[in-house]
Amino acid sequence: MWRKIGLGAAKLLAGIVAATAAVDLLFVVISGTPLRWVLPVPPVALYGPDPDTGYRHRANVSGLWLTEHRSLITISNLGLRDRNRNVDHDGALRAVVIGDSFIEALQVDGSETAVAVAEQILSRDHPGTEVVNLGLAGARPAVEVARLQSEGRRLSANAAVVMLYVDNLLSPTTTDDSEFTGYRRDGSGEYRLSYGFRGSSGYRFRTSLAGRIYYWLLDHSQVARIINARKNSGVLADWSDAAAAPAQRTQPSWSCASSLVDGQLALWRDGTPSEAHALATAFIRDLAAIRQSRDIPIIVAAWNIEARCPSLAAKRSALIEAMRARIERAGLQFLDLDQRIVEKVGPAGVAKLHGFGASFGTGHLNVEGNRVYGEIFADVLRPALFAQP
Amino acid sequence: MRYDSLYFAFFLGLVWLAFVLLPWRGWILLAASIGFYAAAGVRDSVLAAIIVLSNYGFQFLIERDRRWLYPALLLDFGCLAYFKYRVFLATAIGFDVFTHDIVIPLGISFYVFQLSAFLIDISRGRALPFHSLARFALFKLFFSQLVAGPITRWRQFGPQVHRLFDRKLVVRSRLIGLGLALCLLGLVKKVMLADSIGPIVDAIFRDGPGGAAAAWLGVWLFTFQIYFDFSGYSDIAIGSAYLFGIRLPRNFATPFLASSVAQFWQRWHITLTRYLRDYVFVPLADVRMASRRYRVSQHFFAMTLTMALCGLWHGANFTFVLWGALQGMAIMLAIMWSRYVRAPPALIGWAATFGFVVTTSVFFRSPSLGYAFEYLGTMFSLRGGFPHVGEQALSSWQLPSDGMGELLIVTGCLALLALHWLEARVSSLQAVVLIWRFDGTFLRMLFAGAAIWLLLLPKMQDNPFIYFRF
Repeated sequence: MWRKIGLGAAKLLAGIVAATAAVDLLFVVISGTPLRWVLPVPPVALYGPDPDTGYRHRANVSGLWLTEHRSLITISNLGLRDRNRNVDHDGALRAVVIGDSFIEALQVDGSETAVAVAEQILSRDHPGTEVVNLGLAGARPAVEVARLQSEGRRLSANAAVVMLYVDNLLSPTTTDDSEFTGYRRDGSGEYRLSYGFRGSSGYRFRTSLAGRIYYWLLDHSQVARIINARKNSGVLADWSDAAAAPAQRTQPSWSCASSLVDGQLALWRDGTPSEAHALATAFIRDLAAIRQSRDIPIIVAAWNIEARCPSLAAKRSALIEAMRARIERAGLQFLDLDQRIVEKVGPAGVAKLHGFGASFGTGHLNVEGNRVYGEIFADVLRPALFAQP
Repeated sequence: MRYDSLYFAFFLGLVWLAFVLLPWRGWILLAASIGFYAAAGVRDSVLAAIIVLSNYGFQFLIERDRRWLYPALLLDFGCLAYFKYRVFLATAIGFDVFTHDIVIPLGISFYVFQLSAFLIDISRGRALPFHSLARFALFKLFFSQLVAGPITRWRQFGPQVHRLFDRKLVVRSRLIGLGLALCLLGLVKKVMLADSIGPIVDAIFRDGPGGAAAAWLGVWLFTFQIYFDFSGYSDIAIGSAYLFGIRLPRNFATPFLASSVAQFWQRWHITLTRYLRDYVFVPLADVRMASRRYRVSQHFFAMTLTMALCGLWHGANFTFVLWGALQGMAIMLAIMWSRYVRAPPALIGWAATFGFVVTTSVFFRSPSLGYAFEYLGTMFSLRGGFPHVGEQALSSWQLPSDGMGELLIVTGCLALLALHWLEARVSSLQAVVLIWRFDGTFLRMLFAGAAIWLLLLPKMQDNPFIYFRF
């Protein structure tokens, strides 16, 4: 009887293994052919642990990114959303652009990101000039500072653009360091970079031998990617079974509500709320410290301050002046990114820079959006790089 | 609970275990079916309960006096009309009394048809009433075919229900392997194909095609999307019923290989076509309305009306009505052609049929008749753009401009047709025999494991089964 049970169990196991192998092979074939642009494939797992920021891209990982728009992603040899390059740059000038998923631009080809476009433009006039993409999805101000400290130093950057998504300073996640680098108050009450994630069980697992095996599996097995993606989205995430209508296009519109600017104006002009004010102070202080220690120009590109609303013009102007004053007082440069975008494409053209297919008009930057942003970055980096003594 | 969800897989696994391990098989399936439908919500469940109870009572009355059929049908179709067509009908006759549309109760189009067929069969002496309410409820509520068919007749399903409750239903183990294979096939069609095509179709029809090629691409892909979606669902429904030893009727037989429109409808949504034939077309065609010399005209009218109703069944919109009427006229023309003219070579017949099916799909997918005619205009005029760009679109949908992209699209479209042909080859008796020969633990785990992996694949957007809306 035991022999019969053992044989049955062996057949059961063999069936599961065969199914797993067959499905893995199927997705390997799909991923390796043009079918990958249409058929479902497990999404690539790009991120791994990092002691400076909590997470970062894993070097030389390659695969399909599926969210919003399919694109084939290859992480560079340096572990960046960038082309392969050497750490040393032999005297040629190098800038870095630091930001979140908009700079990371996983929805477009690597040569079409805003940073790549900026590099192409600058290297036409000044061969060898490099612009390195330090974009990382979800990067908050603390992660950006930590990334500029670590990667900026490693890459010996000669200039940096740091994106400041203004709403982040009012968000409580900026002070959360349980998963990523955050700003926490120290003994003197000032906000400092904090790395609480290093003690978390998740981080310890990812940096352990088991974690390394897990990442090896993610890089070599399609079904491991399925499990990882399912883990991220929730095991039973497809419960929304209502016979819903197909996804509708999001209206390419924007709001001109006064409240959008009021909160920022209170923060930058009046210093309220005090928590956000202290965070902004810490962010500017840390960037200024890097600028001073490395002697490089740092451009803070303020972003998401609606520039398409005539009704907000007066308040917006006051806000921009307050921001500019504080940032330039610290020795940093200020860029009103939204205004530059509107100047380039007009108020009606902004929506066309975002989204793909069903979501055209909203979401991350599309190819055209990256081109426009790339041109702006090239414009602001040119004097920063080449006007240096 | 969607059939392409892990929830359904867990549900199916648990019910199957209980079914295998416990002796009360009929009761287990009934409880599972009630639980399955209860997940749709209280309103849908209460409505289903009312219809079940009233039809349970009507069956005895109809057996005694067939005139009770009319109030019974009035109740069933009245519920259907109220929940599905009230806004459409009121607007059509000029009364704008219903300001808000309401969500159609889950599966109402299907179970009303199944119950009405049962009651008509009783009145014709072709079915016997269920004396047990539990058996009658399972006949109506069985979860495998509750939401979107197949629409089963009493003679197909009734005896199996009795055998389940009488513990006489033999669950042939070889049906399990076949059932799992069908579930896997259905999931491949739904998850791998229909859900992949869907977003492209949605984008083309929402934004409007940028030219004739884009318009043809949109309607070609939609034709295959709806086939893979609905036949995938039907495969899962039939396959999951096999796991419990229950045989449901086939709903699709590779319809895109048909060489005439009449043949197409014998292979597409077969159970609905048979319902319409037996309970709508035949009575309309047989009734003495005209003299013998106008018989052909009467048949033509009956077929057109039947298929127009078929269209209306799919949705409360004149696009569906016109789509159905066109199908009816084409069926009659095909029948008359075969009667009076020599049949064309099979290849020409197939091409004409497939071309007709693809072209008329525009009406099925378009939001309004105006949109459909503009879309057809773009398909056939070879003009550069679509005049009716969607209200929310920033531009019309364009094909990739590089040669390689166009080549890949053409190859992909032809590959869909090739897959359909391959399905016809695979869905053969030899394949069934092959599965039976190798059926066992290994093969079952192979099918079940592959199906679970497909279910685990994260969905990039919500793509409910299209026929769940009907």
